[in-house]
Amino acid sequence: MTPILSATDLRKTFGSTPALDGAGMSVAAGEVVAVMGPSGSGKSTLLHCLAGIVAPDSGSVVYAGRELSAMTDKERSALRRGAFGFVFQFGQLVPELSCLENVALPMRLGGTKRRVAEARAREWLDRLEVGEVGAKRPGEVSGGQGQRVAVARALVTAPKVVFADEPTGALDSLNGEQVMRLLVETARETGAAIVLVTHEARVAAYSDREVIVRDGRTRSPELVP
Amino acid sequence: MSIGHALLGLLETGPRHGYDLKRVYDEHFGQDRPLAYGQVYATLSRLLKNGLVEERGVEAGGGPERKRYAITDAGVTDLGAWLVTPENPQVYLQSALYTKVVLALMSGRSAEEVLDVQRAAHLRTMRELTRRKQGGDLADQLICDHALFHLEADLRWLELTAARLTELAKAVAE
Amino acid sequence: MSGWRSDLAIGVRLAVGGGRTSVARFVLSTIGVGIAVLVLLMAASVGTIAGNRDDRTMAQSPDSTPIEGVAPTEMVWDGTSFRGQRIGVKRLRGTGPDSPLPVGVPRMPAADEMYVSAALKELLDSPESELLRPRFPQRVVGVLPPEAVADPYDLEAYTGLRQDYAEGDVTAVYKFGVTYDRDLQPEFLLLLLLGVVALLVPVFIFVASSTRIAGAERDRRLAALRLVGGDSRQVRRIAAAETLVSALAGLVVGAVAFLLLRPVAASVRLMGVGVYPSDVVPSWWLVGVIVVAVPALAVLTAQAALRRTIIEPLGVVRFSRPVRRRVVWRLLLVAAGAALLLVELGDENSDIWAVRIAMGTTLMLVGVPVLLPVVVERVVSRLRGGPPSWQLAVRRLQLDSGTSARVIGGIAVVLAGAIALQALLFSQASAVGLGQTDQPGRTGAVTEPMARGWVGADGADEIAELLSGVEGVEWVARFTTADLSADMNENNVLGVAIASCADIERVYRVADCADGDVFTWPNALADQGYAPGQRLTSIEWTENGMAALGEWTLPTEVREIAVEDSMGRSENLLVTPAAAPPGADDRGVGLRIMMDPSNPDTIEHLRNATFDLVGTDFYFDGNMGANVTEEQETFLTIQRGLLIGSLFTLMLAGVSLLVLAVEHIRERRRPLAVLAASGVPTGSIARSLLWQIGVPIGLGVVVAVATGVGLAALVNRMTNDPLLVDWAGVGVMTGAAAVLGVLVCLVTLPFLRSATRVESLRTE
Ligand SMILES: Nc1ncnc2c1ncn2[C@@H]1O[C@H](COP(=O)(O)OP(=O)(O)O)[C@@H](O)[C@H]1O
Ligand SMILES: [Mg+2]
Repeated sequence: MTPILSATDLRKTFGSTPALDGAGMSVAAGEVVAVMGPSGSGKSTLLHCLAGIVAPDSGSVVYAGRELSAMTDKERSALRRGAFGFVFQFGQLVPELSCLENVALPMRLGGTKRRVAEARAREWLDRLEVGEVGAKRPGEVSGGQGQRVAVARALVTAPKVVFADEPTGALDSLNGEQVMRLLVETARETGAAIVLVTHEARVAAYSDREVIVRDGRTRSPELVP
Repeated sequence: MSIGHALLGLLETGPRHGYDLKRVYDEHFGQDRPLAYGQVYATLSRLLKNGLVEERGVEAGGGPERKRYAITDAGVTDLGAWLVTPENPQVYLQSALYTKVVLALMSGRSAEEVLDVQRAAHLRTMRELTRRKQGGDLADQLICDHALFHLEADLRWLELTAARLTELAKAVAE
Repeated sequence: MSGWRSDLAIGVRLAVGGGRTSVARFVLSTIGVGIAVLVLLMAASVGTIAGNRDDRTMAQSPDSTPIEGVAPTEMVWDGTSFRGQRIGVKRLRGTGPDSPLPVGVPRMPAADEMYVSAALKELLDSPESELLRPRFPQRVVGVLPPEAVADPYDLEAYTGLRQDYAEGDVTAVYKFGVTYDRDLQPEFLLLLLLGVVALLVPVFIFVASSTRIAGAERDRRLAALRLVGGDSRQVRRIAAAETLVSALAGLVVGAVAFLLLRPVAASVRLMGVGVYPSDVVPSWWLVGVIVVAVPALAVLTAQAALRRTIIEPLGVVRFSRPVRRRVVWRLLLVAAGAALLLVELGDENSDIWAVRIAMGTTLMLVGVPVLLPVVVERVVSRLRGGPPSWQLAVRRLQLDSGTSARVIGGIAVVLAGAIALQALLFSQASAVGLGQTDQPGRTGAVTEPMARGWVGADGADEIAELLSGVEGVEWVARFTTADLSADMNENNVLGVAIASCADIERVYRVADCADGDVFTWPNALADQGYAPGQRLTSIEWTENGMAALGEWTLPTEVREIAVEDSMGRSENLLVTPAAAPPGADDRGVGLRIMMDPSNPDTIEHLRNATFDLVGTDFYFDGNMGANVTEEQETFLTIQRGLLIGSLFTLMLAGVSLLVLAVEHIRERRRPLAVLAASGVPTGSIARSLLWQIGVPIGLGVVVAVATGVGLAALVNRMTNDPLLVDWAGVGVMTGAAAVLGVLVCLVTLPFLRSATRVESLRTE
């Protein structure tokens, strides 16, 4: 299967700290890949490079045949807006907007009419089993509900790749399980690939395969026959 | 695990045939190792002897597989006592994994390598469990979660061990 | 008590030593309070400045009341102008050895000696005064000390009066130095009161908002204090101490700035008025008031702000809808102000009248920042829809519009005060005949440079000829005048100028003038109720009224001159000699001198020429280039001063707004960073910031303009002046407010960029 997104030999240093030191991985369309490793090993940095949020010092990231570093910043922004979705650990919802408006936001920024955007957002909230929190603001809902709203916001634009950085990191087990189940189920339904950064094996178990990061280097384990 | 108590627990919801008991047991607890019929009847006869279950009529055709069993009051009491007795926290000191890691280290092999291989294996199992959990009912979810948490615990111990040893190695190297 | 002390100590510690942001906050509020204190100290010095100035003026003023046994000094007031500056010359002649001398003049100067003010000396010594020196052939024998010159920029000279001078304008002075009570004209008092209130209310509001810079962050910090076990009273005390520190630091900064700027004051010339640095001394009791009021106000506002926020250990993390603000008392406040200005109470000179105006004005101005939060809240809660950036801004404002509304209240009150003052100045100015260029119906003013003079009928021809030869003079037109009356009523006289066709053609650029023609200006006759064919009487002025000289009929055919100007005074008719009314010859002759527009010094050459002619120059009214008289210039200066003051205050408010916006960005670092990571262009987010600042500013401007114009209307009603609003000025200030909003947004952009960088995504 040809990968939709692939990175080779990424290097990135912050000051004197090498965050990535020859990391690489690839993601096939619709595939769920877990990125695992101890804290500080470079998982988030790898995800940021893959998503074109951070430019690596060297190495290449290719999405759908296009080299990210060859694009202008504007093109990368447009790519992230159109083809990628993001779920972070917490604090990604705009606190002033209601949950519904938060989910509608990416579409509205893409130029969709408010009514259409909010109708679609409502569908997505229902799909993620948080239809009842639409009118509330993020500060007024529980962590699990907030995370599901965030998943809805990441998926609402039908992205090709969803980047999730410790999406369950701030949740208890039950909420974490629900968020993961919904994220993976809905992503599979829409055919989105997921790059799932986590250090929890239970969360990684939702993936199709895992990539291990250690000291800025990646390895995909050979399965013991 | 006490199969006797498990059967008692299943009988508490109502009298069942031996065959029925085996089916329900397998459904809930027997994912890895289904009960053998012989074991069911051996256990039941032990419970009968201790007065914890009783026979409740035989359907036409006879034979042990046609017997219905029901729990007795003594059985209910015994089950209750068992349920509230805490399980002895299992100490896995003697597990194969532990043995393996210690051996690997003693022979100078890399702990990380053991970890990686083991993680891959663990994750493969965990994926299966997760898949089954997603398709299954509540009982499935419970049993799978149980296994998943244990497997995760193994991995976390391994990760910690690997990290500790790396640190130790660094300290020694310095 | 020791608990108190330690709470205060914690507050001080938090104010000055809490990392970069808290230092920034401390510095900003200190500067804010410092600026306010500086302004207040300056204002407190105005009394001393004006008082000392008056004292000097009075010490110089001659007293002509005869005193037994004193041989008076004879004095002639004289003067000239140089490039728009007035130079006062007093010629003195003693009638005895002990004749009185003015302050700063040690002995009676001879006719070829003079004592000059420092400013005049400097001017005479400078190379620019080449064209002035011919008028001052005297030797400078001394420089007048500061106590003899009211204003450091005054150009003054004392010189000797020729022994043979015997014109009628000689005054006998028995003593220099008079005392009189300074009674302020009610109109002037009004302007002063309004000015003080309009400029000082914003300063206090600025103090209030300065000490609340970065309030949200302070609330968070206080919440952290609650978390570790501080009770709510302790937290209040800590907050009070924190505010107190910056208020006190601000006092020090303001005082130091005042001391540093005092010498600079000498070089500042506002409205043509300068001050001696030694005069810039605030009156001690006002200093006392400032020292007490500023910190008190700061602490009180901080406490009032805390009353609204209940600080819980978990802080203000969870937003919930704020309580709706009560509107009734706010409206009552404004209504009370308006009522004070509306109700007739006390006549124009009573103290009650003054107090009433001051209080009414203050209440109305205070109403602006008090009402604005409600207005913003109510308006914003009705806003819906719009693009995402708009939605973000509106939602934010719906959650918390109070903070920005308060800051913008500071801007709005400045605007309102300035607009009211401007309207008032404008109306008063036009009531006394200034600013006429803006009156309707007066169009097409002559912009050709010209000078006017008035000479006796005898030597007029020679003088005209002499002046024609002066460098830069293009044409010298002569005209005589007559006065006509329809009903022999002194208050209703039609002025007539009589000039030759050649002069009329040159000055007014009319073609085909024939002797016998009569001209007028658009609307000039009809406005005053004169009709063609009307019979009028030519009159002359006598000791006790007017006397008839003969009959004159207004011709049926009167030509109109498009150019709106008259020959000398306010004549409404311009006639050629053949059509002149009877008895028009024996008065003086007006000269109108057309000058080369490319040579602005022509007027100085003219003054020198006339000085040669009579030994003293006679009145020349220079209309150089632009059609702006000196009075209009003064008016424009006042207007400009007001504008600069308001713009300055606007700038201060801009700083507060900036802090607010930066704080806002920092609060939402993560969501902003996530938005940016998801590919939302920074432009969208920046636009939402713009809206967020722009909406309250827009509303603030509306409220300010309404209040300002309303206030001016109310005050003008009291003084029975017509209301004229300087819409251009209003436009400039509203424009400035808008630009300010945009500027603040631009300055916040780097902060926005840094907030949307990936670092913000990292979790600590
Ligand atoms: N913006 C940054 N500035 C400085 N150091 C950074 C930055 N981002 C990451 N790092 C460093 O790079 C390393 C990898 O970080 P990260 O990718 O966040 O690890 P992980 O997500 O696996 O915990 C760490 O040592 C971290 O301190
Ligand atoms: Mg990370």
